[in-house]
Formats: sequence, C-alpha cells, structure tokens
Amino acid sequence: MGLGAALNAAMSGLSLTKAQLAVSSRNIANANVDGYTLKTIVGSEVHNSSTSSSSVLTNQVRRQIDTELQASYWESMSDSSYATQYNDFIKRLDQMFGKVGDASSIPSLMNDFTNALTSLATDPSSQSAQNVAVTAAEELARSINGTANQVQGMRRDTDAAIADEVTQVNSILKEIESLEGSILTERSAGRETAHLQDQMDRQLEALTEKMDVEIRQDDEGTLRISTKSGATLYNHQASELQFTRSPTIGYGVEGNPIEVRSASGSVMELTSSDMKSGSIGALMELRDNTLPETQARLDELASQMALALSQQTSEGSAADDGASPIAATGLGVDTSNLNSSGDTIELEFDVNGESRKVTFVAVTDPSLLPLSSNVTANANDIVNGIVIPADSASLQSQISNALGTGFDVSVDAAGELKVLAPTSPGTIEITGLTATNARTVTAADGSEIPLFVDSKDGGIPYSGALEEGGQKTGFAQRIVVNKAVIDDPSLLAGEADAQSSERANLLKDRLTQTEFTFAPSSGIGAKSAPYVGTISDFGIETIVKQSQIASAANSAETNTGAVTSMAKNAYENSYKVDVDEELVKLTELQNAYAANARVLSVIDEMYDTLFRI
Amino acid sequence: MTTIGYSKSHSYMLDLLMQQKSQLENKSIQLTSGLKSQTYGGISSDARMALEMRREISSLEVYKDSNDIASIQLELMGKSLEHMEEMRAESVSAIDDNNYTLTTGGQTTSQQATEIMLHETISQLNSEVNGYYLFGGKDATKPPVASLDTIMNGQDGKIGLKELMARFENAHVGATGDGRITSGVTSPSGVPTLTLQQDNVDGFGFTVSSISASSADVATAVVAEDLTDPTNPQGQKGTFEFNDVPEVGDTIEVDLELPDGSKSVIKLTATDDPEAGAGTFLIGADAEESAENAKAAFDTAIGDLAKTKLRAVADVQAGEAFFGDDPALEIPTADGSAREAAGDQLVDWYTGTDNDDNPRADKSVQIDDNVRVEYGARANESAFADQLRNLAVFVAAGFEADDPDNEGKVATAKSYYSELAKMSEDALSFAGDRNSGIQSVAAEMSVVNTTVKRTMERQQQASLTYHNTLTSLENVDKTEVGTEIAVLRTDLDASFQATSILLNLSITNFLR
Repeated sequence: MGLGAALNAAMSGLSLTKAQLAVSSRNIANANVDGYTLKTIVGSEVHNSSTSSSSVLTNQVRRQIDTELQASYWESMSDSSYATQYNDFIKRLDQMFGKVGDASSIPSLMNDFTNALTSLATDPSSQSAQNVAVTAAEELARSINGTANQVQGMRRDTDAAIADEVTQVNSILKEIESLEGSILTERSAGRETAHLQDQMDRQLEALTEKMDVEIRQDDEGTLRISTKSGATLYNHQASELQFTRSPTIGYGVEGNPIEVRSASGSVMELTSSDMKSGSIGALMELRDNTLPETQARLDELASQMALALSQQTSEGSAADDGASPIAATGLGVDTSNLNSSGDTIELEFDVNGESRKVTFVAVTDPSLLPLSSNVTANANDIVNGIVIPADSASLQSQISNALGTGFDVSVDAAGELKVLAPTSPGTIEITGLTATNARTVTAADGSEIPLFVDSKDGGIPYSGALEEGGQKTGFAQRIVVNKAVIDDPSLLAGEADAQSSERANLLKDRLTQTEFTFAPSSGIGAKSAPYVGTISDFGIETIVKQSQIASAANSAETNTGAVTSMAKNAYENSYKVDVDEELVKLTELQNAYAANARVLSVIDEMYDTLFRI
Repeated sequence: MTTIGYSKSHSYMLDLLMQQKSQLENKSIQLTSGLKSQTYGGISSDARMALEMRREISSLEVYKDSNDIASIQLELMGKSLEHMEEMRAESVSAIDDNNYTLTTGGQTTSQQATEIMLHETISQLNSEVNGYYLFGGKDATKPPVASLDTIMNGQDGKIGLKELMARFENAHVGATGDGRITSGVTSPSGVPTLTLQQDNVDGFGFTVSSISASSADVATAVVAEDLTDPTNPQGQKGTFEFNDVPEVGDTIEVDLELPDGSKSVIKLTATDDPEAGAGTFLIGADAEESAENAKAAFDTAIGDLAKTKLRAVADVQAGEAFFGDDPALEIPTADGSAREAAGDQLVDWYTGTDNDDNPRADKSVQIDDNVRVEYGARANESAFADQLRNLAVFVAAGFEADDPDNEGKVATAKSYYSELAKMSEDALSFAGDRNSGIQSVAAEMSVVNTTVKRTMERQQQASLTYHNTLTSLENVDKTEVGTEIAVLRTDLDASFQATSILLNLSITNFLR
C-alpha cells in the first residue's frame, strides 16, 4: 500500500464532500419550497483487496420520504377537501335560509302572514287589513320562490364547478403521464430522479384533493391510479374524465354523471362510491342529493301550504243498505267535488281488530296507475289511483274493484259514495271515510280559498296533481298568490255583502293549528314515521333542518381539517429540510474537506521529502 | 412525552396560529353583533326553540297592537258613557215641574239647561277614535247621530221631532181642543141625556173608559162603538140620563183613558152656588138645564185636560215614534184626520249599523289565541235612544202661552209644562237600586276592558319570558365574550412571541 492509495482515498473523500456540499446547499436553498423533500447523499467505502487500498464512492442522491405517512396524509386530505368544498356551499345555503333574526326568512314571513290574518279577523272589512294580508301572502310566496331559485342556482354553480374540476383532473393526469415518462427515461439513463419524484408527488397530492383515488406503484416503479370502484384513471397512460355541463339544470332534472374514458377507449360511469371524498365528490353530493332535498323541502312546504288553505274535507256520515233488518253498515260521503287530480278519498276500517287505511288518489292520466305508496306522506296506507273524470258508475266500479269483495260500494247519481260492510259476520268495520278536494275557484262555497296557485300556464289551481312528474315538483318556484285575490283582497273577508272574520280565522287556523303529515322526501321525518305538525311548525323545521345540515358540515370541516393538519405535520416532518441540521452538516463537511485537503498536503509534503533525497 | 416538532413543518405552526386568530375574530364578531352566531347553523341545537320563540313573540306583538287599540276605544267609550250618565243625572235635577220661568227666546230656563245636556249626549254618541265611531255599530264612516238642529227641525223636507210632536198633538188634542170628545145634550124619549162622544179617528184623543154618577137621578151607560153604518161610524160614548134634577152634593164622573193608557177622572159635584167654579156644575131649574150645565162644566174640564196632560202624552208618543225603530211605524197625517205610514218621511236621526244582530258583536277583537272580546255599541240601542228621546221631547216642546196676557192661557201653559216636565223627569230617573240603561252598558264595557287589560298584562309577562329565553338562545353574554377575548389575546400574544423566539433561534445566526 503506497502513497498513491492514500492520495486516491483523499481524492475520493474530497469529491464526496463536494457532492454532499452540493446536496446540502440545494437542501438549504429549497428548504421552504413546498413539496421539496430532504435529499441526502451517502458515501460507501470501496475496498480494493488486491492493493488493500480503500476509497469512498459517491452514490446517487436519495429522497427521504415516508410513504405510509404520505398515504395517510393524502387520504385525510381527500376527506378534508370534500368537507371544505361541501361546507363552502352549505354556508351559502345557511346564509340564505337561516340568518338569525332575519325578518325576510320564511318562518318570519309566515309569522307576518298569520299575524296579518289575525289582524284581518279582528277587522275583516278593513281594506288596509285585507291588503296587508294579501301583501304578506305575496311576500311569503316570493320568498319561497326566491329561495328555491337560489337553490337551483347553486345546483348550476356546483355543476359548473364539477366541469372545472374535471378539466383540472384531466390536466393533472396528463402531467402525471409526462412526469412518469421523464422519470423512466432518466432512470434508465442512470440519472437521478429525485426532483421529478417530488413533482410527481405534488401532482398526486393535487389529484387526491379532487378525487378519492387509489395509487399503487408496481415493482418497476410505474404508477397505477384507479377510483374506489376500480375505474382506471392511470395505467401507463392517462384516462380522460368526461363530463357534460348542464347550464340550465333546474328542479326535477338530474345532472349528468362523470365518465371515465380509458386510453383503450372504454367508457365507465363513476358511481357514488367513487364520490365519498375529494372536492368533486362534495360537488356531486350537493348537486344530486343535498340541494334536491332542500328543493323537496321547499316544494313540500309550498304544496302543503297551498293545499291547507284550499282543501275542503267532507267527513263521512253513517249509512246502511236500507234493508230491513239492516244487513250492511258503513259510511257515506259526498264525492261530487272530486274534480281535480290529487283529490283524495280516505277509507279507514278495522278488520279483525286491526285498523287499515286505504287512500284513493284521483288522477287524470290512466298510465300513472298503479300508484306507488309514496304518493301519500303516510307510509302505512294502501294507495289506489282512480281515474277522473268518472261518472258514478265508473267511480263505483273503480273503488269496488280496488277494495274487492267484502265491501259493498255504491255511488249514486249525486256523487254520494257509500262504503258498507255486511253486519254478519262483521269482521270488517268501516271506521272512517273522508273526501278531500282542493277548491279551484274563489267563489263562495265554504271558507277555504285557493289563495296560492301554480303560476304554470299563466296560473292554474294547485291540487297536488300527479301528472307530468307531479305538480309538487318545483312548486316552490311557481307558488304565487291567486290573481283573483290580488285584484280583490276583500275575498279574504268573504263575500262582498257579508264580510266576516270567518275566512281569515279559518286560514289562520289551517296554518297554525291544523296538523298535516309531511312527506319524508323533504328530509324531515322518516318514511315509517313521517313528520306531523302544522304548516307553521314545518316552516320552522325547514330552517332547523338547514341549521343541522350546516352545523354538521361545519363540524365535519373542522374535524377533517384537524386530522389533515396533524397528518400533514407528521408527513412534512418526515421529509422537510431542517436548515439547522443542514448547517451543522455543512460545518462537518467543511472539517471533512479540510481534513482531506490536509491529507493531500501531507502526502504532497511526503512526496517532496521523497524527491529531495 | 413526545411532541411533534415544527422546526421543519412551519405550515402546521401556521395552522395553529391561524386557528387561534380566527377564534379571536369570531369572538369579536360575537361581541359586536351580540349574537352567538350569524346563522342558525351556528346554534343548531337551539334553532327550533329560537324560531318558536320568535313566532310567539311576533304573534304577541300583533295582539298587543290590537289590544292597545281596543283598550283606547274602551277607555274612551267608558268616559263617554260616564259623561252621558252625568248628563242624565243633571237633567233630572234641571227639569223642575214647578219652575216655569220663560226666557226671552220662548224657552223655559230648564229647557235651556236640558238642551245643553242633549247637545252633550249627542256629541258623546258621535265620539270617534281614529275613524271608528264608538256608537255607530259595525262600519259607521260618519257620525251616527244627526245634529240637534236636524233632529228638531228636520232636513231636506223630512220631518223633524218638532213637527212630529205637532202632528201628534194636533191629532190627539183635536182641532177644537177637546181631545176628540164631543159633548151634547139630547132628549130622546123625553129624558135629557148628556152624551160624551168619542170621534172615531184611529184611536186619537181620549177614550171614554167608564162613566158613573152618585145621584139616584142620573143613570149612566157606556155605549160601545157602532160601525154598522160605514158612512157614519159611531165611536164609543158615555151617556148621563138626567131623569130628574140632581141633589146638591151629587157627583157625576167620567174616566178618560189617555193614549198612553193612563186614566184621568173628571168628577163634577152638583151645586146650587153659581160661583162654585171648577169641578162643579150648577143645578138647573129642570133636568135639562142641569144637563146643559153639566155639559158646559165637562167641556171646560175636558178641554183643560186635553191641552195639558193629553198634549204632554201626545208629545211623548211622538218622541217614541221618532226615536223608535218600528219599520211599520204609522204617524198622524198633517191634518190629523188619519194615520199614514211613516215610510221615509221622518228624518233619520241614526245612520249607523241597524240590524237584528247583537250590537256588541259589531266590534269583535281577537285579543289572544282563542280569546275574543266584543264591544260594539249603537246609538239606537234603547239605553241611548231613551235618554235622547226624553231629553229631546222636553227640549222640543213649546211651553209659551199663545197669549201671554191671558191668564187662563198662561195657566194652561204652566200646567202643560208641569205635566211634561213630570213625565220627562220620571222617564229620566232611576230610583233606588235600578240601573239606568247607560249604566248597564257601561258595566258590560268595563268587564270587557278588564278582560283586555288582564290579557295585556299576561301577554306582557309572556313576551318578557319569551324574550329572555330568546336572548339566552341567540345572544352572547358580552362580559363572558369580553373575558374570552382577553384570554385569547394573551394566549395569541404569547404564541406569537414564542414562535418568533423559536424561529429566530436558527443556527445561521451563530455561524461566523
């Protein structure tokens, strides 16, 4: 072993130190760059046994990264961006619906309306009281219209946002494709790829923010990205997300789905299980569930309110078959007013001590039959459709066919419906028979009045018709005060020559005293236990529901935010550059360099000494 | 203990600091707005309760408005009723049947005083609060009671009270001033008979109720009316058959029924003193002369009664006709010869709501859920109409004698005054424990007013409770938030300080 070996070792030490210095300076320079991972370079001893000399080999630059921390960070970030995106929109809804003490909120305007009716009942012939009541009704209707329109406006916003996000995801996927290409090229050329991998991580992070994806790296280091349901987003080549915006999306219309078109050309629709997290998922949830449910809530409110004021109910009275001795008893009710689609006849009876309820709902379009039991808010009734207009014979046969044997159904020429059950053996006992119809004209005939109507086709009565997808759908957008009442507010006080507080009192009671059953599709109440309450209560419930949604969304954002923050901290700690550490290393390198240089100078001196001999 | 360092992850540090800072911001928003949260989303669990409180409060506010108005109207109505009652009481003392003192205007002093009270009563009945006439029933848009002048003198060719009284007086008293009783002496079959014959015009004037005589020489009879001859209907009559000359001290008398059902007895005592005067008749030389003398005495007495009491009764009847609300009312014709349908000849003294409903129901106010009070009133309710009538009839009467220098006529006028004054005073007085109509109405109204007041007090309490609850649900305790802000500020200060120290503690600063 000669001086040459020592010289070599010192040389290799110097070059390692230089390389390390370069890495350290890069680390320090990029210390505050997001996504920059700590780079290290370690030397390894190379021992030449033949010459028994040793030197240091400078290896390639290495990235320091903890992939487990990275995965958990990405996952929590996907959740967090879902929660943030969701809450962004919910906050807007909350502002729109539920400002504390807001005089223009729906419950507040509903209070104004019922209060105006109270004042009107006090002074029914007062023109100003009549006008105030009509104006209050108009404001309430306008507020429901406005809110519902904003809800649909937000749906359009989410739809547009989905389109933007999809575009971004596509560009991210393209970026990933090109980065992977570069990495493979560099690697095969034996060059370092750490900086490219940093960039790749940045892109993957951006992708997880948008979507719930699974990222796998196979043995050769190539990426495979797929959605939860298994649709391939990236496999050597980027797939493309396809989405068509619906700029005019409105109530009752579903938005377009997102499709994945793989490089091979196969198209797959993304399902809701792909949308559990990530900002796109939040937008889809808002567009397809949350906002339509809000719309349904407003529709239910508008629908029940309009019906509550216009619905006339005839209770059945005892009837029998007229034979002697009486062979069948039951109830009779007048059905002559059953003229609108949506009008109902409800029959209740006990059979062997169990009570049953059958609801007949009038429809004009026979193709709607048979009706789903969801047509009525009550979950426990059996729903049958009857096609109107029907003469008494037709009505009789329709009801009779639906009920089957065991019942004796008759409808006379005046529309009096009798449902009887034989007294012997008496297993069936008719306990209730009511006919409910929505009044369609303002002329005198009871105190009910179609105060709110559907603005469709220039103003049609609202009866909750089931045709054309249901009159209820989007009624929140279309509810208006009947023009006849706007033109003549004195209608609220009854007939011109006999003004009384009767109508005002009835309307007020229908809003604040009478209880109705509300459809569970509104998100309030469950299918098996629908919400029962007054219209005014339901008005409050709509806000309460909204506030619950808002509160939940807010705490979800806070919680996922905290989790993400922790995960991020752990992840960043694992790869970030600590400048102090680098500086200490720098001092070490300086010493190492000086030492190596010293060795060189000693060898140099030794050579000198040698040469002087 | 392991802590997560942050010398590498500055963003985590930043998150924590920003969180603390946004907390501070939230607190300061709370402090400024006084609200726990700007939206119900922030007070989710309390949202329903808060909204329900708001609903209760807003409905109480409406009730408060209507109760305030009802309260004012009831207060004023109470005052009006009180005042009218005072007017009634004062008029009782003002109308003095003995105080016949004429003023230059032709009215008596008591009439003048009563006229002022009548004026007052009318103006009270026309009281109005914010466009609502308290005594006009449902929807009076102008004063419900006509002016005094219109009531007295009529308007636009319609008859006022004065003319109606004149008609009734004329009809009852008759053109000849004898209360439609014609006297005559005939001698059918030789017996001189004094006949007091009613004419047969529609129940005007006196009715001969009964006839009697204490003398054995005089036979009496009441002959019922005879309508068999339609061209010459005979009214009821009373006859005295003087079979002989009566003795001194014998009496003959006739009971005359007045149109109001009261009776007046005219009793004549036979005398031989030509100067005996009123209440006697001179015994003549024979039966016929005696009958003639009795006739003359009856004529005078009946004439006096007709011009005083009958006239007063006619006035009261006119008042009843005028202030009554009989749709089929008949009044005497102008010439007093018959009755005719009043139709719309009379001036309308009352123009408010007039139907068969209970007047109280004319004004009905909802003062609470399921509580409704009624306090409508109409000036033509009997309580008010009676008082108006009694005052107006007395004021409208003419007590001046035709000839102030004729002692007899002045005496008649005085006596007429005294009769009417007595009647009016009686009608206006409510003795002992009887309530006047107005007092009864006032009692009803005060019950309603108490109900309204109690309800208002209760609602005020309820509203206060609701407000307190709402405040605790929606609002923050400012002291608490203030303290929290102070604590947060100190914390944040310290955190900033510490962070700054930590970040400055870089080895860079210590390397040469």
